[in-house]
Amino acid sequence: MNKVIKSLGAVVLGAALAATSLITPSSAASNNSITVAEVTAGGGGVQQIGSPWINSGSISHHAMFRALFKANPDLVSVKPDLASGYVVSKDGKTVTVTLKSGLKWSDGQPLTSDDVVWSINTLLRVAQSNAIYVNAFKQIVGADVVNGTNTTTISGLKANGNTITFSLVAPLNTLIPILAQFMILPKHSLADADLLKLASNNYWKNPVVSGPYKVGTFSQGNFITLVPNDKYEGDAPKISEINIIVSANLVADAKAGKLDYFTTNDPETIRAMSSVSTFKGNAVNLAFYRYFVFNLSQPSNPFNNVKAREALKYGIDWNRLVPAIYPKLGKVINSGVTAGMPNHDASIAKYTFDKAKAIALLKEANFDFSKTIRLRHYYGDTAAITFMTAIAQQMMDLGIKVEMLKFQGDATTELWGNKNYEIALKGLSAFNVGEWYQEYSNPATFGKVLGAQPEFAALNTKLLEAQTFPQTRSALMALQKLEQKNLYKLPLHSLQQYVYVSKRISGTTTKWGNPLYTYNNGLTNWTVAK
Amino acid sequence: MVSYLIRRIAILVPMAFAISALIFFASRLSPIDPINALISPDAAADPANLERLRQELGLNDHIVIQYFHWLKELAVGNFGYSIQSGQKISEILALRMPATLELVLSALILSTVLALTLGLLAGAHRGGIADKISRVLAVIGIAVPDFFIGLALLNVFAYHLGWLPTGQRLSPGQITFWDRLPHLILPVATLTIAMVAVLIRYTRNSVLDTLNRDFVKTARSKGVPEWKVLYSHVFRNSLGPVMVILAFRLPLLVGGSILVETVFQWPGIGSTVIAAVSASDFPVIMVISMIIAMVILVSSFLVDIVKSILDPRVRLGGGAS
Repeated sequence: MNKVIKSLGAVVLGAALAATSLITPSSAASNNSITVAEVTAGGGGVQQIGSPWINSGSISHHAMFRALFKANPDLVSVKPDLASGYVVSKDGKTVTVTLKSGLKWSDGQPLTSDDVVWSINTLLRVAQSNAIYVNAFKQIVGADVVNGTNTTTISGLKANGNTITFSLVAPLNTLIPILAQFMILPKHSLADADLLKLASNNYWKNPVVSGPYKVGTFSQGNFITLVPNDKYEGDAPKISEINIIVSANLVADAKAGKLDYFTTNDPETIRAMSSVSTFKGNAVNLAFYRYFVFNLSQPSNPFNNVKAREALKYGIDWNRLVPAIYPKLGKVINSGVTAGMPNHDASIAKYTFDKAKAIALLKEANFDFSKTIRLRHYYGDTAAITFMTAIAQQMMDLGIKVEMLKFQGDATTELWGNKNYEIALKGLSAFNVGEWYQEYSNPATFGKVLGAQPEFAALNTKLLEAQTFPQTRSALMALQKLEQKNLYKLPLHSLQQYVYVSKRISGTTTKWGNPLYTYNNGLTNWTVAK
Repeated sequence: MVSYLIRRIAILVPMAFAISALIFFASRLSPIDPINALISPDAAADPANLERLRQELGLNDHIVIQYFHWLKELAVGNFGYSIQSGQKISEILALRMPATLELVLSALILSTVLALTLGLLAGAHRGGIADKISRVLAVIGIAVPDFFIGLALLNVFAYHLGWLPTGQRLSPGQITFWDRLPHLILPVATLTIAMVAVLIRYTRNSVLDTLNRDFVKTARSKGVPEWKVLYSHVFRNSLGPVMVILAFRLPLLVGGSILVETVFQWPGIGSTVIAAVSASDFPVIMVISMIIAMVILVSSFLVDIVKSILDPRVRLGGGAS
């Protein structure tokens, strides 16, 4: 027996010693490499490289994929990237883009205008993509008939040598900024892929890319290491390795020096990061809205009367609630063009808390106080639930019966299909202000709860076709007036995003942009302190 | 024995079908539309594309047809696609299963060795050091949740002392088994502490029971050396009930330890389940639930067999379980 126990003990002790002798804690602070935390689907470590046609703002997307143009941090003005330039016709309906010569994919194949035309056509055939691309590309002549059920190509999109011509149904002033987000993918790698299941294609495990970095090692479930792409025609990047990981505890990893870059809008993380002296936090203002949607398709909804909707602006103390739940992040908003943005309508009411006025407005609206209001949301984070609970409490203080719950089903079905709510909290991370206003006249979404909105549709068209600053301003001012008149959506607050960068990195941009989109953050110039 | 085996298998098969039907139809009762869940409520995806995908995935078929189609595909190893990531579920399993097996098998082996050794010593030397250590370990393992133990170990050994990695199976630049070993220590230690607790108490009690049996007294009275009494008579005879507990732990090999994997960002089946549940990724939830259910059925079957071997009255009694 003693022999058995001794043997077992020896095995356990031996294993423990072997393990401890091999311990080499991982650290971001290795030579000329940085570690970036990203959020990926699937749990555990890094599962896959996500399609840049859904979101394009992660560092891995910045590093590997490229668009025709490179946006500046404002996401409006652009610089050349794959394209050397563009020309817009006088009537604004023809855009001619010239591709740079001699471009190559990371596998050495030439990157041509054929890849650009294929990418734009293919975007209209996939199941999942960012709405901004679909909405923009549907404005190209002949795009309305292109989808995953046919092989038709967009007739208004032509390539001739290095020139690509976009013929538009109507002028579209957002086309160039949107093209600066749209990553061109290699036709030769993906032409035979099942486009409806593009996300499951093996391409994403080691994608052929055009950016300054390519995949060096992809340890699925663990990490991705990006290394310089020697086929990239621009200046060679200064950092030799970018490690992409998933962090379970951003603050602890940042403190431990195991992380160099991440973005967040989580209030707890932002609060805790204020004590991490090795990082610099950069607040980024962006068009990230949280707002109420009213289900006006339901005749018995007590909020069908605009005065009842207006009462919520006065009856809930937004100016105390928002900063309390989203300190350093949330800002109360009363318009899609928020205060501080260009073209904000300063005449919009400030809606300071006034309970008596709110109750008076509800009475004026003949509000049915006997009806229980179904207040719904689809966010699962603590801050959003606390926010909604506080709103429900303050609504009850106004004498309104409230039942607050998270949607049981998916947000799309619940908001636009089932519609079992009177008020729902929705979020929108918009590419630009226009996206906020286009929601009003979108028949597939808000059209289901608001009905047709020809006034908004007409003004949205004016906004998209605006060629000059005064035209843009005029359209936005009119949209804000119409929004205030109807309050179909009740803007509640915006949310900032924070970009955290380790102080050992230098050469970064001085102005950070929306981390959900791609822009010139100077990645190839980043250097690491040795 | 053969007829007993046939009887158990005859129960196993309809039970497997019943569980598969329960999993399938329960998931279909969910208000979550698998196609709409793919797109954000702002999306402008072409409805024609979504409809074609719905058709391709067989979601327009009658629900009963969908069920048999699902079973048929499961049988040939085609588990479908994850809604959340678009990956093939078979690929996800192939990738995640080894990680979970690595973690749970290590913990299972370590906890079994520790529990049997300490349990035997605790039982044989009641009130001794081993007994006291085993009691402390048992109390910690039973009273403190495994995720808390994990977080405590993580904070001390990874974040505070910096001796061990903060989680995940591999860090950038690491590829070999030896690279993986430091990553394994904290999650394995966490699971081991949680697993050892019950087994240690069970082994100790079983040893104490056996020590009071007549054959042990007889062996001692015959002058058989104490180590031989303990090993040949006590330990072997105490193992039976302990083996039953071990067989019941087999489902852990698939399900892993959900909370421990989440705490340590371990890319196994457990963290996949958490991610799938929070994203309402029903195809993944259904397949993993089905696999876990099958492993539990097979484990119960094995337990019955072990019991019937240890105690013939079980099979004579017409399948008591």
